Amino acid sequence: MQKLFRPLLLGAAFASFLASCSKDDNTTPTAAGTGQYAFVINEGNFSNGTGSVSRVNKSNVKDIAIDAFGSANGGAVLGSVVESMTVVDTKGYVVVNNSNKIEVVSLPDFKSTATIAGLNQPRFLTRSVANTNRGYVTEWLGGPYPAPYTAGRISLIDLSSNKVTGTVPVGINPERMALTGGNLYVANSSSSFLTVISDASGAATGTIALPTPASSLVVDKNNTLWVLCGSDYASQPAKLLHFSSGATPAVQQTFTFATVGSGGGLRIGPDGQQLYYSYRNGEYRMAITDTSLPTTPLIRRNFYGFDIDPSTGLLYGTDALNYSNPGWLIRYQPNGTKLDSVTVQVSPNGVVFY
Amino acid sequence: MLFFSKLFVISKLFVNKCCLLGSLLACTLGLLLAAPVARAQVAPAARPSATSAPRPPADTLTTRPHRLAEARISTVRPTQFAVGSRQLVLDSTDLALGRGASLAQVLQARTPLYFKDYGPGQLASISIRGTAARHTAVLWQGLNINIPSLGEADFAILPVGGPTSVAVQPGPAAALYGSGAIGGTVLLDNTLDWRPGARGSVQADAGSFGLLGGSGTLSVAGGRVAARTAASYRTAQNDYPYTVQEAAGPVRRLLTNAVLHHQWSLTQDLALRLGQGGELTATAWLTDTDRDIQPSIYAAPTQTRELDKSRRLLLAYRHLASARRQWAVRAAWFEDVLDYQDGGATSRSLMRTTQAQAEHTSALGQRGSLRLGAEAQHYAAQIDGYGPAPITENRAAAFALLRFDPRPGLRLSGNLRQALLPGGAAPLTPTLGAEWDLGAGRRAAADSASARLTLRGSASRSYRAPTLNERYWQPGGNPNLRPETGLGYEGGLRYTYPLGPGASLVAEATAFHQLVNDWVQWTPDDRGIWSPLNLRQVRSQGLEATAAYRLRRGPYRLLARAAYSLTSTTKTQGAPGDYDPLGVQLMYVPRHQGSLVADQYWGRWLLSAQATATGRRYTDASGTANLPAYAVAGATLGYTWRLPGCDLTGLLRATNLLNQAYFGYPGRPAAPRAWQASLRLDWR
Repeated sequence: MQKLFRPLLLGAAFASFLASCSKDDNTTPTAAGTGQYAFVINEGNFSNGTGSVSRVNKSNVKDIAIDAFGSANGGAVLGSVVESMTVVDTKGYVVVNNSNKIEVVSLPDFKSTATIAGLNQPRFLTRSVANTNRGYVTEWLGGPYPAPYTAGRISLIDLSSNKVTGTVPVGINPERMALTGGNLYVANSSSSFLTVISDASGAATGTIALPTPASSLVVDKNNTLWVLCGSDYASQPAKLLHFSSGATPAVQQTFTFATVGSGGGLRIGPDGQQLYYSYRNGEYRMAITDTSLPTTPLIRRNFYGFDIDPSTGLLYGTDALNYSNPGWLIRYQPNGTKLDSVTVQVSPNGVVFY
Repeated sequence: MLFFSKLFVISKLFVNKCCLLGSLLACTLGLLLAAPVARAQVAPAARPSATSAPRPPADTLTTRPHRLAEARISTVRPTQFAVGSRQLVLDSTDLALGRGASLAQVLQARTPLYFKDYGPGQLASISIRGTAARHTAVLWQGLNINIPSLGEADFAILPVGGPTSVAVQPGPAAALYGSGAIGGTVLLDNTLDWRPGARGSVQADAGSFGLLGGSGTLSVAGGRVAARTAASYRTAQNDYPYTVQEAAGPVRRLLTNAVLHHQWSLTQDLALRLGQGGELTATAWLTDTDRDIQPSIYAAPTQTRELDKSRRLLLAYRHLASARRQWAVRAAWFEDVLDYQDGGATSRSLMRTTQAQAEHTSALGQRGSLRLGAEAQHYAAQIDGYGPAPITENRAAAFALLRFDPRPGLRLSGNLRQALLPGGAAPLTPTLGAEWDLGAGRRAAADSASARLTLRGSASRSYRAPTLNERYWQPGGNPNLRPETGLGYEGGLRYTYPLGPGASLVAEATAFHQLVNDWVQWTPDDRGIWSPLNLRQVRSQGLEATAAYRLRRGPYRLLARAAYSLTSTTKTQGAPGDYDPLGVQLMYVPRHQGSLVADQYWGRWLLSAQATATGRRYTDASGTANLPAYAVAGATLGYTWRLPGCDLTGLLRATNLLNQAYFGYPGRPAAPRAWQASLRLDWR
């Protein structure tokens, strides 16, 4: 829910809204902390500007701090369109897309410790492996509707000073990133290529062509890259690509979806062997060794966000309903059996574990 | 005091400009009048019998019904077929104090109507009886001026002063007013002053947060010609302070991105009396607003800006064939532009509506009148969101309106409309209404000093045609959308109580109930594409109570009125995929709403005070998040100097007098206490 739907923007709102309801807007699952909490990212209503993060006690989902940031910080509003959160040691880096900032909070109490301002439509943060004091943040440039989006960038963040130290140009509307083999691979959701950045130098080294733009990508236990190239709605179905390992990955397998118009939200389980993605009205699971796409979904439900708890293997789906009501967090056993659920806030797009 | 010096500069400029404008117009009219046109010899037209029955003033709030001065030709107004409904009519003080402001500001300050308001100059969507903005028909000179793409009007871009009369009729009345009259109808009309001679006024305004404005009117009449010109201009920075809670504590900031770059309105009316009982009228109303679109204060600043332009031209001819028969034809051309800009790019919407209406009214015996009519609209739209090709759409409707007063003190009306829409015929929409003066009421016509109790009630079916966005938006537009339909009932009583010489009390209570079926909701499909669907039934019911007190003692006059409404609006039936729960008050519909207005005149002094209270409003469909209730007050102090041939009036106004911090919409803090000074020169 990237852009405004309310008649504030009158007719113009519809298009930007439609352009924004990508199901890929989820949050990188990060294993850290004590494993006691799940943090649900609630984008909030765009027009109101009141996104939030709900802190859920994993041993009892009804034990929930519905607005963890507001509760810990004197009622302050986290911001407009909370997009993602990345755990960096004992800190949470909460990316607030439409407020052009990252709120840095201590975990799990969510007290504000710093604000990184001056970003432009930030989306996701990934921590470097080669330089653990560096964070990469994808940012969109250009737009919003009706202005066209232009090639985006990665901002390099010094995670100790929380300052931007440099930028790297990437494709249009960069989203998630994956790190493997000393390279950071950036999915550009409106450009048909991955941008490759050297993790050691923090400089772009090249691109990898894709059939259609991708928003999500993961690395499996063999350190090979899986990329889900989205459907372009009009003509091409989505494709799941499996790359070879090494410094110059090449496509070794292509899995083409049956119908045009859906497919996204690629995730990987904690063992690095099970892929998860959404397609039509279901959430699917596929082993990295499978030779074809599964034909029946693991869970028949259209999630707005889906993540796997690295410590328990439980599945956390979020349902945004119609984006104007508080959504739900629904938990499932690894076999897809529903466990429990709790109401969170408007437009929950994913879950982060700590 | 800076604004006072600004004010005088502005006022001087305006006097000069308007004098020039006035002389030009006077010259033009002089030429017209010099033509050998005989003075009108048309005898005062007898009103059709139905209208001669004693009918209490349609309004409960007004103190001064608008009348055509020396009108020779009386037309049967549509409201005369609205028996059983009530109207809120803005009186001359409401309009005079609201001059240059938007209709949203005046209606919010001085009536119990609720608007979903994004801030000063920003989108203001009316909600009558718990319905959405698209459920209010806004009629100017009897023609719907809702923007065709959205099917609703933004009351922030309708300046007061263009139309000469403003009335609101709550409740469904599609038979009378057509598509969209489900929650209610706003009636804007231009009425010409036929008193011979010229009169006019100019006004300059300056106020807090960069408010500057000016307005002028000029009316000229003589013989068979009458004309009126009205113009207004306004600009505002809206850079007011607000306090936001941040993690480190409360922080005071100045509002940005809320500039009203300009807003102007120009109205020109020209009427010509032709032969025996004919009148030709040409009317133009042009409005133009260029404003920032203010984002939530929690979001990053934007450069979002919107230009709204409307050009409305109307040519009408009405003919009083005899005391018992009259007819009228009208043709109109509207152009609405809505250009939305961000990041240097523009999303353009251009809509043109061409329409015609014809109606014939005849007396039925001694106690009734019947109006038969038809109308047709042709819409053409070039809107970026619909794709490169322009779209067109035609709609038509036929109606029959009957007013029958079987005996003194009993008034009945029965109306019927059938619309033809692109998707097929809309349902037949009838309205039945009755009013009955009890007891002394029957004698009231002859004896205005006696108390009067009037019972009234109405039942009405209504509809709303799908908007152009709902049908043609790409992707997601739904050409198979059915019109929304409403079925509503209301009943009430009005008690008029004279309290001795110069004082009176009018109290009124109304209960209403309405079901809206096929309520449209935009809903995402499994590919994330949003489409409007006929998903719901919504029930709205409630109570409305008003009281108006008038007192005149020598040079002192008091006009006080109080209003309260209780509104319960909930979804009562849903469909799979519609997640909004049943039985929860709809978003942005306050359960409680009240207003108090007291206008006092003491010789040349005016002191006007008003207050409104708005109950809690949910900001999501589940009723979990809300904006707290608030009350806000304002006051105006004025003094008039009598000068030779003209009056000079100075007004000092405060809005949000008690400096309340509140939100009309989440993330949009309302303006704090603000001052405005105005200087007006009226000449006769």
